[in-house]
Amino acid sequence: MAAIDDVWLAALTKDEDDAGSRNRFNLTVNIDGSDVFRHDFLLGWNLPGQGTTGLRDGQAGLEEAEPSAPFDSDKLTNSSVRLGLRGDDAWAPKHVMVIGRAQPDFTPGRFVALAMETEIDRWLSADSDEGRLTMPVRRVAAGTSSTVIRRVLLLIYTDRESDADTESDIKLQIAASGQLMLDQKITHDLDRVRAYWHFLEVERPFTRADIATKGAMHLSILGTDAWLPRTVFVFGLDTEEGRPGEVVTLSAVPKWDLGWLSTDASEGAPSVPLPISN
Amino acid sequence: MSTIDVLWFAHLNRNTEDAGSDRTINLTINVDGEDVLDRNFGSNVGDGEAYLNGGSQLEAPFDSAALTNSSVRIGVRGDDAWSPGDVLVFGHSLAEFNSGVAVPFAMESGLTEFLSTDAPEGPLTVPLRRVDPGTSNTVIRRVLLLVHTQWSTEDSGTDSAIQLEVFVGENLVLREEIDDTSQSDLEKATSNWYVMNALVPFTRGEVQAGGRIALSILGDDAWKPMALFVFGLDTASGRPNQVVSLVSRPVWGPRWMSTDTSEGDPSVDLMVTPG
Repeated sequence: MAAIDDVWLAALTKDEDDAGSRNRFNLTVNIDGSDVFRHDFLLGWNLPGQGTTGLRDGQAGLEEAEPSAPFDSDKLTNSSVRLGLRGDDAWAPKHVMVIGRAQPDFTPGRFVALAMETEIDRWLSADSDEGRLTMPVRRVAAGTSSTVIRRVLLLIYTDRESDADTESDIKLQIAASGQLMLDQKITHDLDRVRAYWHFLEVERPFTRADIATKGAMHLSILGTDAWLPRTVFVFGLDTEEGRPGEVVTLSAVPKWDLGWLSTDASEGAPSVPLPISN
Repeated sequence: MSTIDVLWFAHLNRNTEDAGSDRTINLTINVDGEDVLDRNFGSNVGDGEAYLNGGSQLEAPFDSAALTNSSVRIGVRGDDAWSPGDVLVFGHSLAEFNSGVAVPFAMESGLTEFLSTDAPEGPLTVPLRRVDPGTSNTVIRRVLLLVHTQWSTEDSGTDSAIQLEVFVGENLVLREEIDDTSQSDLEKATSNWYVMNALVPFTRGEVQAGGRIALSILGDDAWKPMALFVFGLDTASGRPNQVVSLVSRPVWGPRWMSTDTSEGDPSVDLMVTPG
């Protein structure tokens, strides 16, 4: 049993005309006929003067909310989780993932993927001419230390602090069993209060146990434009493409406390090791 | 197991201010992560009023036994908040259409929330939990009559009272006269949801074994139903656990009802659901 006391919704909007929405994103989690979680997410925040909330075309969102009471993730079924839209500004999600924090057997809480859909082909809208009101988000298994990982999902969210954004490239490296299994650059700007969703290819399959025994994960910056993340999640997926069956948490830093990143040593560290999840 | 390929949706709005909504109602049915049904209903009925619609064939028939308590949800597609008090979803299979078998599979009663796309007004959707269709041995303590009055014929509605009676053998176990309730009773092109208490608990099997279910009209203002269903509920109050099909008339047929025999039948014995 895993008692979930914190829920995160991550989503990536399709990068096509009118795919974004200013409406709120409604997530429900139902166990045996009772809604154990209902929340309306903004997902896309904006600083003053940057326009309304919501997700624009191609934009990712990442947001956290607490259930009124912890719920048992083992009781979720493929029919338990649904995502809807609270208005008629139609939204075209590309990928959606629901993450939970399990308490209290580990401190800090252990993060697990609860549900996920990828390459979604439907639109959501309260207007029946534009799309569906809600859609199911099927369960994914949390996997184990032995799950073979063939792809990595990097979710990042940049802090709101002044100058937290960066135009420098960043890089994620994962070493396991003494070999570099993943070495991928993110080459776009990272704006403040913005989430980013990246599927990253691996050099060769590996397991979380391989990282723990003889490996490490590092998040690095490749320039002097300092960057301050707010949240970083790294997940390992068991499929090379399409919807995964198992999603293994490799690292979860919901509230970044590892300092600024910069190749200018006076502003931050050029690289930080990411904690490996249990 | 029952393969559902025809679906019916019924609800009774709470009899409170602004409970009705002119926005589309959305019903989803999910089996193991796949939506086997995502359908909109243009309910548009007022405070305290009922709605009954269905009868069309589903694109994707499903096995009602595969449903869970998380499978069925209703929502509203707009910000005119809607507050249903009671909701029932049932179906039947085309193969069993002529047998008059209806299969109730989800129901809620005593709901109190408003639904709306406007977050401050209420949830976007709510779940409808499973109910068991029961058996011929399920003890019935209440009866639900759902009826939709013909819309296509002039004067198909009535101001006359109607009466439902259930007999076990020669013993009367339920008699309820329906006259001037808080709903728009038996008006043309309207639906009605009536719950009535049994005088004596009974089973469908007992009615089948020499009993009968009779529907009567008590006046000469002729009435023509369009569809009519009678269900037995296993609880004396609140949400039922088992909902037993007693009568299923998705198509009423050509006959009118009236105490004036030149206009119709004063009383009809309804065919009791077999099985």
